[in-house]
Amino acid sequence: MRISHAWLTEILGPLPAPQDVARILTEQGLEVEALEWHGEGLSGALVAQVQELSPVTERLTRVLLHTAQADAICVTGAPNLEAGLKVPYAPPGTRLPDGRTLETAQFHGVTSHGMLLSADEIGIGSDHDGILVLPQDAPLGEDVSAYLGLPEAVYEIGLTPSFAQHCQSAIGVARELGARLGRSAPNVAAQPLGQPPRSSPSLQVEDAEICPLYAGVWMGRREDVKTPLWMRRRLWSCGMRPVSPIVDLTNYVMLELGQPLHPFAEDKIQGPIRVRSAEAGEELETLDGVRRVLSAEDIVIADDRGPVALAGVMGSARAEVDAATERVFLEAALFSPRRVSRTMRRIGLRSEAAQRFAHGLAADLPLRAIARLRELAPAVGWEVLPGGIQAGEVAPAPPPITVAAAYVRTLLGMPLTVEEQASALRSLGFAVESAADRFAVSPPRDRIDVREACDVAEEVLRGVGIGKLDVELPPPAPAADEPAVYYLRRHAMQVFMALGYRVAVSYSLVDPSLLATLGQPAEAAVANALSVDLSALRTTLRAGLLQALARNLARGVGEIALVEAGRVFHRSRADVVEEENLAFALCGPRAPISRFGQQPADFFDLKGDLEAALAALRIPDVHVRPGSDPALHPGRQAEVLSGERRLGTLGELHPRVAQQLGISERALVGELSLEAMLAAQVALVARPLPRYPALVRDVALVVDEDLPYEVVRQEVREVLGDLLAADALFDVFAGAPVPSGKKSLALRLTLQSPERTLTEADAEEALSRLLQRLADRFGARLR
Amino acid sequence: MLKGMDRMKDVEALRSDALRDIAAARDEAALEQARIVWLGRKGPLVDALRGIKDAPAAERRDLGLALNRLRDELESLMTERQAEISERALFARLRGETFDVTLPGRPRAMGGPHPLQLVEDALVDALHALGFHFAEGPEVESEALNFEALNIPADHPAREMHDTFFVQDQPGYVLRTHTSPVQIRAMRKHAPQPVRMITVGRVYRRDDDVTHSPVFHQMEGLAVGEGIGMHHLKGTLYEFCRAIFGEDVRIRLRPSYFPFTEPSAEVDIGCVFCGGEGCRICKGTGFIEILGSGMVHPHVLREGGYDPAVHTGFAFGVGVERIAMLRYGIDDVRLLFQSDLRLLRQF
Ligand SMILES: [Zn+2]
Repeated sequence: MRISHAWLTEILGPLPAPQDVARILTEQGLEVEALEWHGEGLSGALVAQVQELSPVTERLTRVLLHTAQADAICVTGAPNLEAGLKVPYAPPGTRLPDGRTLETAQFHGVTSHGMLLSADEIGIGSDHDGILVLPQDAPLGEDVSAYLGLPEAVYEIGLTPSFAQHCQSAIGVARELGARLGRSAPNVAAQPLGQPPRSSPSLQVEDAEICPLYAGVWMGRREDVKTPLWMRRRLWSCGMRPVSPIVDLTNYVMLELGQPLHPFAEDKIQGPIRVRSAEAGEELETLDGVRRVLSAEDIVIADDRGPVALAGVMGSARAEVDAATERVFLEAALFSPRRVSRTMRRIGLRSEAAQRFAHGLAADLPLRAIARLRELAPAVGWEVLPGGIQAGEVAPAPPPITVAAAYVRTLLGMPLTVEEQASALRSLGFAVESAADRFAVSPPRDRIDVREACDVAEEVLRGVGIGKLDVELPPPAPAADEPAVYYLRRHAMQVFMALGYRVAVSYSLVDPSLLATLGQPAEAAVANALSVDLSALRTTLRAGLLQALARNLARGVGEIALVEAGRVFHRSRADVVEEENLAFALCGPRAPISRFGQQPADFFDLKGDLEAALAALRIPDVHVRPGSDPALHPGRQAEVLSGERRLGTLGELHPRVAQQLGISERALVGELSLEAMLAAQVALVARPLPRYPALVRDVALVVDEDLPYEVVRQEVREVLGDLLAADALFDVFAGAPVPSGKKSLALRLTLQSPERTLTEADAEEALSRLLQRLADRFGARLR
Repeated sequence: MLKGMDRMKDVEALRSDALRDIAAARDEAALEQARIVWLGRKGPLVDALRGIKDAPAAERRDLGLALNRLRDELESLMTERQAEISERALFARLRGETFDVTLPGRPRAMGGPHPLQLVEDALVDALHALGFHFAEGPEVESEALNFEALNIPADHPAREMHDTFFVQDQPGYVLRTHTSPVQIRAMRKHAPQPVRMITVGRVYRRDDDVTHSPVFHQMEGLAVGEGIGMHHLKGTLYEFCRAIFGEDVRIRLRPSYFPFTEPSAEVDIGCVFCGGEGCRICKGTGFIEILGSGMVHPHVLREGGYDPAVHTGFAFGVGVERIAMLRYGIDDVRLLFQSDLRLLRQF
């Protein structure tokens, strides 16, 4: 909400500079999000009086002006001038807040020496269709900025829900500011309405739940005057637009006290006034000219002919006050915050009234507002007539809250005595009765947010100033178990970064069609998605990762190596199950182009990274077998296992999928389950270094071309057992002189015994055993 | 047969000839040749040594001395010369191997972290150092834990600030709008024992613009136990902010409102861009809002299994994106979810 420095000054007396007030309010919890200066930059404008008007064209008027020194001639298009009015006159050379400097100008042969200013041009209001008419007692020739007190500081305050309960008013903000300055903000006392006037309509409130208090009074117009400038300026500074004296008055009281008021044109309503829930489907045209279909959640004010207002939100066009209205029925009520809030959200109409009702109001506020209205009405030419009608009674103040001073001391960590706590509370307008080490607190009636001891502790804190808090570390607590998968994830990311991968972060909400393209349809979705492309919970991390890959390619970024860890979402019966995965992808060369040449990454780059990473993460016995993932190339993909445990998959992206994703180059992608990796991980225990030398033997085997290497390798490992310290495949060859249908595998085997030095004879024996087995199994022979 | 004086003269002549030869040797072969000529079995020096016995007895000693000295001298000169020659050869070879050292090196692609990950790890590590343990909770969370247990009943105005995604075909479940439900989970696990917990993870809100992303990350800290006060909160936040923003950071608490804490406080740090003078980023205030915090609300303590008359606690939550954007000068939150390598390669 907005409030001007001038208004706060009127309530509290002279204040510190606006920057300091902004800081104090912020430290008190009323965050000043912006300090605006209305009318800043106006210089040179004078108070002048209109002497004589003569038409130039149908729309332009020549104005003879009198200032203290001299007369001047201006041309204006404004319709609201008459001789004798005091107006702001900007002679040539005047600077306006929007940065313009005025000069003389010609209009149809008439020279205009500067111009007359509207509120908008001065920078204080939104009225641009007329010249700002100044009060008759404005001294002729006085500087306009000085006369209007410009620039005017206006605070824009961001209200949290609790402050919105008691600070959507000038009085509320002033009470908070006053607490820090040692001043108090006077409040208006509630007064009973008196007897209903004769022949007043009956008032029926269907349910005290929806409207605990409804008060109505009648007002009559006594004079035809404009809303005074001071009141219009308050409305402007709060961001509202003046409309008509009676509407301006009700808005002003709302801004001052926080109670929304609603005037109905008396001649436009008839019969008893009913406050009731709307009937579903009932229609109402609100003041903004929109026809609205109501729901049973809404509350309406109705007369014989149906709804005349959407209670707490907005009035209707049917009962709108207009220029001819002589009498109004004025409503001051309390409506269910919950219901108003729902209506406001349902129809998306955040009116000033609704924003106040939605947070709740003090039980006696409607009667206070009527008392204030009675005081102010004559200023706008209206009068509140005696008597009124009322449904419901002002609820009594809740019983005092009992608080133990020791509780406040513990909670705040401040050694405050009972008396110190009480005086902090009194500075905020609380009534406090203290006894020994506890006290009873009665908050001001507007403070409906203070209900229990912890709320009171917060008020004590704000009363003494939050800046007084001590700084201390909490005492230690016993250690607790932590999720191991979190640490595995961090470790895995470090390993992949060391392998040259950049860490990606993608949305976990994706387009379901993307998941379908990857052959892993969505299993859980959002019921109220913002858009289709953020509607499904990902079942695979590859969705986001491949999109990131495509986006980078589209932007001309190559040499892609990305890794991402995060959750995927599956369904198990009715429940959504979350699993932690890690995915990684390569596309294009590993390094930028250089004189050393460049090779686009292939399946074995990705697999090499996988093997290195799993070794670094202590995942034992890693091997793969051909896979069948529909998103991957059918002949270039594998399932990754640790022993019998499946860890995930890797492969080359299927060219059709790549095309659908807009990936024009060969892309390699893998995805692993972090939970499976965690289950497979072995503890880090250092092995003793070998004490006896190793023997290295190279063998070239000729086998059938379609025999998978992994099968040969498993056999080698099984036959040589503990004797095999390391094995490496250093050549694969097919073609002459290897017979067709065969291939040659060149293996380097490192043989070593932990118990003794192996002899040549040991090696010979082991190798011949191996070759015999390979020959038996696969028809392998030495090349 | 040589006369005494003549013999000594001959030694001199022998020496100067040998010296000239050694100095003239340009490569290893020439030097080896010189060695054979002068120091070889058939060389003049060996010859002369053999001839000592023929010299008069009075001269023998001096002559022997002179010849042996000459042999030592020649041997040492040859060794020196040998070193010179091989040094020169090495120098010549190395000069031939010279290349343009200004050519670029063989490029290596470095991996690197995501800015969000950097911040997350820093936040977690800072709290770990203060004795908080790590905990996690599901992203698909029950409304009861996401809202009711945290003192946000249906129709509470605070629900408006949590524009919520609901999960299809799973009534009563939402995508968690904050990491605070992990507080409840941690309390229920440990009550009535004290808790010091941190969590970090993804949260979801129905919001999408320059400063709001529908998916974002939060970090949350919680401490519950007997005698925990708001000064402990301030102390923890102070240490935490120092770990993230540096030793000299200033912090300021402002009263605020969260349904699950009372009293509540917003925490600002002195603007890291202008040092508190006021700038565009801090909107002239000299302070930047960093996180929300407060003393755990009695309702939430009860939900967690603690007796608010005995136990108190504090909690705080940080937007990871916000810290990353502030710390690295990133002005559009969506950049953090694009995995654009042009950004990532800067980290
Ligand atoms: Zn700054």
